[in-house]
Amino acid sequence: MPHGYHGRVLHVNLTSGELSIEQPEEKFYRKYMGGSAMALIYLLRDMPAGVDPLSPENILALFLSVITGAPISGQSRMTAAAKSPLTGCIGDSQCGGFFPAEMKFAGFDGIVIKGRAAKPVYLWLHDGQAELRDATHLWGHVTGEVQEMLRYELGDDRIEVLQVGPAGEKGVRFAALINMCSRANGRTGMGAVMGSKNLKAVVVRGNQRPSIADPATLKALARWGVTQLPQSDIAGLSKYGTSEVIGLNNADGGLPTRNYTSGVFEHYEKINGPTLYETLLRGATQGQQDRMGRDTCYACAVRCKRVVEQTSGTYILDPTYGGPEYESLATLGSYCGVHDLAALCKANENCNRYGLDTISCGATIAWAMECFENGLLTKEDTGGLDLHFGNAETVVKLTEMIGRREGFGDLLAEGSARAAQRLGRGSERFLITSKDQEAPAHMPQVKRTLAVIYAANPFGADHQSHEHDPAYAPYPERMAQIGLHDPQPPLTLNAEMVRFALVTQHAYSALDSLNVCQFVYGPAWHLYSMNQLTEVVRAVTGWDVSLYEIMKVGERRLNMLRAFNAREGIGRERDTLPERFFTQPLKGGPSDGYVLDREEWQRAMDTYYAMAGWDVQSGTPTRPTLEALGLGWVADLLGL
Amino acid sequence: MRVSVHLHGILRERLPSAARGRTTLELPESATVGDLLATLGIERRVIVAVNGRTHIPASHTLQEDDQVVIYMPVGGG
Repeated sequence: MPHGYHGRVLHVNLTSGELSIEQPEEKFYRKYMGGSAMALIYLLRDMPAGVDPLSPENILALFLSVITGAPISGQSRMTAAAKSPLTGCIGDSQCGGFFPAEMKFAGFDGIVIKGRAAKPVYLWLHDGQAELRDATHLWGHVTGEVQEMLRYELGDDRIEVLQVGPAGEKGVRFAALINMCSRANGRTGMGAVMGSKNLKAVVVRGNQRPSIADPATLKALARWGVTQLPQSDIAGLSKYGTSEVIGLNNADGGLPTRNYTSGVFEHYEKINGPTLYETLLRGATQGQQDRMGRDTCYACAVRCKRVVEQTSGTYILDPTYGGPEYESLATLGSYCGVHDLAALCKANENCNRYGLDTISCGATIAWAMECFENGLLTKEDTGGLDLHFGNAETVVKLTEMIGRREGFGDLLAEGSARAAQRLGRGSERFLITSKDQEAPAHMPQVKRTLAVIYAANPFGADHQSHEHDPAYAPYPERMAQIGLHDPQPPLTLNAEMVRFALVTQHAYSALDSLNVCQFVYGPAWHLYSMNQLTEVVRAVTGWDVSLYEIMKVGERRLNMLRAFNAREGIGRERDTLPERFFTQPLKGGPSDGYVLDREEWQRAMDTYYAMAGWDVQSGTPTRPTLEALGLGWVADLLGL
Repeated sequence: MRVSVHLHGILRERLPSAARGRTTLELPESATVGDLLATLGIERRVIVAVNGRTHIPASHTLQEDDQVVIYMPVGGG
């Protein structure tokens, strides 16, 4: 019997209603370990190139990893992958919460979903059993309602529900998958894909916990994490949540403000982590927020998740929908010039209620606001809405309108790139997108290797796909574990920093393959180092695994993601950055005047492809590179 | 000499909560950034900005009325 996983992958054909279970051999688990490294096997092998992402031909794959559900912090995460309706490239997104661990306990390591049901259905997985059930009565309901209805229907308050909200049903291109009403596979529109299949929810419950190979060692590792947490460099994330990063990035001149025209927000203190902690966190008025306002994922000691509550005032805040992360506060907040914290919590709540990616939602609204400020959009276009930067009421209203595809929200539901195409009027010059995905709230002008990764990342601009520049120098011991020894001065984008970007991208790709939290495990400031992650995998699986092997899994996943795009005819020509990054210096604060040098960036991109073993002209993995990773079958698929 | 100090994130807890991370400190002439960190008892890995310039090294000598901002190199979120 394997340790850590079941050896069972569920295949669901929604068109025919057929369910079947595949039992892959151990090599499958050891070579790919989980996440989209596993998912891409099915997407590459079983889906032809060129399918419409919202058609039945698209495949949605949900994968855990060999350690998901083990009793240690930071392991309860799940990857969703499919062709993205937002980018046309590979879509890939991770969620946390209790759903991933519970899916493992329900008896499955992964789910591969094809086709489209004739009417709405949900998938019910429990103790190794799988069945499709009618979801007609759930269709059109928001996430909180659906969770309650399913708990009642199944007679169990401990089920975990992964679902699409009305946004996913209506094909909002940045619709998310939501679990616990507050955790999201946010990016790349995986909710729109699941909605297009008439699959309203995946519901899981079970007691089939895989065995742990070395429980004593795993327990010791778990205890070490609990003991070290208060002294660790994630102590702030633990207490203040990721919203702590508002203050840190603003101090660095890297908090995107008014659609990336500045890296400092004059009102940042009104929306940062400590303010949230002191004011709107549930229990804050009684000083009980540590007990009532901090939530967690399965078996995680960090408790970084927020729960906000407000029972009176302009914005009533329902704790069912959790609370905002850094990215949500920044994209709906400073990105849009908004500093009303209660309004931002409400906008975040609406995103969770309707099932929207807060990053693309906020950044798309910011794009529209800049268009409005410059006269490219008027109240005639917006149905009377005032879209000046800083209008909190408008941001809250638009989150609902986008979620319902109502009025002006219908245009924004397409994402900013398609909206600009439809609007015309020169509005594309205000886009902050790479591969048509809106950029997160970490600024390449300030942390230069983001300029390479935002452009080159196969699923569009992403801030969780490599380590950020400021962490190279302060953590020499941990960086040495992955072969990095030579930190460079700030704002440098030379060959060594490109190497740092690529090597840490492989590390982060490994984290996403193992589906572990990138605050708890990583190569720098994280609670556990990459070597300790290796110890965790060894203890759970019993394999004599090495960090080299884990890094190779990350590199393998990255090449598979890139190969998916290549097969779609997508290569270097779409590895672009917003024009503004090269032409419009930032205004104010420590980053005043910062702008990217186009020639330096292009040289860095050339170096990146060459280091990755990809063709420098096309950006496509070469046959030797794929074969070196044991991916000759992918090279065959690409016809290399 | 006096310098103003602004601590971010978890570093705020070095000061009383009412200070909201802000204080003014009296330091000896020619005190360095490293001396300031020692005075504050900060042993964590941090980034220091002085007068709006970020990533200032510990060996940097402070001047009267300098504005110092200290924060953690935590990314992501």
